[in-house]
Amino acid sequence: MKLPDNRNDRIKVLVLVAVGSIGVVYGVAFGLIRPLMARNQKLTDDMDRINRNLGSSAVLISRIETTRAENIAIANEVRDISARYLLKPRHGNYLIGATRYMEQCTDPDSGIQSINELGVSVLETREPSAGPDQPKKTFKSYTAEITAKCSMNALARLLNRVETGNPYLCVSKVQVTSDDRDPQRHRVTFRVQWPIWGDPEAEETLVAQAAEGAIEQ
Amino acid sequence: MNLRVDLILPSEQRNPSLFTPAFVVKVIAFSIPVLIGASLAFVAVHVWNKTAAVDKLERKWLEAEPKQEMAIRIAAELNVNRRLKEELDGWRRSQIVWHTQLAALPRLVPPAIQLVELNTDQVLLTLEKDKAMARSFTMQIRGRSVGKGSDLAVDELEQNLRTFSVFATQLESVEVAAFSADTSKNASPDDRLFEIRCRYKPRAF
Repeated sequence: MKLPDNRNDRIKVLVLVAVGSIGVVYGVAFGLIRPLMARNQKLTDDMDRINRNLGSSAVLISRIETTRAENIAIANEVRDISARYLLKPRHGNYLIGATRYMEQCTDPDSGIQSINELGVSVLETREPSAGPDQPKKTFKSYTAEITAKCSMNALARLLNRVETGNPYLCVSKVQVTSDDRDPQRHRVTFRVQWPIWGDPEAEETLVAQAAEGAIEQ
Repeated sequence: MNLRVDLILPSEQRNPSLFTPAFVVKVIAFSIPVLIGASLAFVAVHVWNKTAAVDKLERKWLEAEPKQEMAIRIAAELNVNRRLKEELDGWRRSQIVWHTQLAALPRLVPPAIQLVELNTDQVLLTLEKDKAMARSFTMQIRGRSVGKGSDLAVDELEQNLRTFSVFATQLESVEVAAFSADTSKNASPDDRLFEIRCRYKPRAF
């Protein structure tokens, strides 16, 4: 194609060509390159995200067997502690278990007169400084009060059996008062706190986990 | 006098330079579309390759995701079980083994002293240091000290409580809270009634 001979016409044609070229370049840039770049950016983001996820999951997955083994070991340990030392209700009644335990600990000198239920409570402080951030406790406390008439030695022996038989319970209160009419045997009252499950579902979950672990092993 | 001889017509004249305006325009007119086309092709191929790579990664992630979910679930269960164990250990840590204390107490009592009453109690409190819950135990000993030197006997009992290892390691404070004349019928003028209060170090759960 030959450009017009007239200088003005030639300039007009060139300007038209230049404007047209700019339009084409703009159209290509915005119509094709820009969407492609946006798609490229999205793909880069996706790739980074997936790579990050794969990186973190690789760490988790590489530890899965160790974590599982540790979990089963702790679940078994807690289940054993629960089975051996936590007080369980018999027909909804904790006093039966508490009485049975105390009877196992007594000897003829213990002189136990009564075992009374004080009930279930949540172990928590009433101080305002404790704040609302105290972690929720899974275990509650069941307290029974025991009255007896015995010597100091007999009481120490009784508490020895009570405390060593179950290292998780706590003798929370002891009252010993001498009796002038019977100087060898004192009036004794003491309270025993057992840990009990506050949430029966937590115990069921634990037992299920331990069973799952036993099956896998 | 100058003589000008035109051998070719003006319309037949050509620019001998390599970079004529027409040539430059042609080069630009050719190279810009080529460059744009090449860039487009490059970006398109790049995006296509990247799409394939992302698809591959996504397939890998789809395989890994259930395993990761399982790992997260087991880790969460482990945390719960650790908390349970820690809570139970807290029950064990926070108690005081009273039988050793009660078995040791008679050995600390001087002959001139007769114990009348012994009370122990606990309160739950929050430790300032780490805001952990703790059991704080107290022990109150009431008794009668007979004969001359009653005050010395009570001092001796107080001192024994401070120094005897079974108590010394666990007690935070020991104080004689009361010391007064025994006004009961059978008491001699030298007999005294006393009360010793002991506070145990708080035991965190």
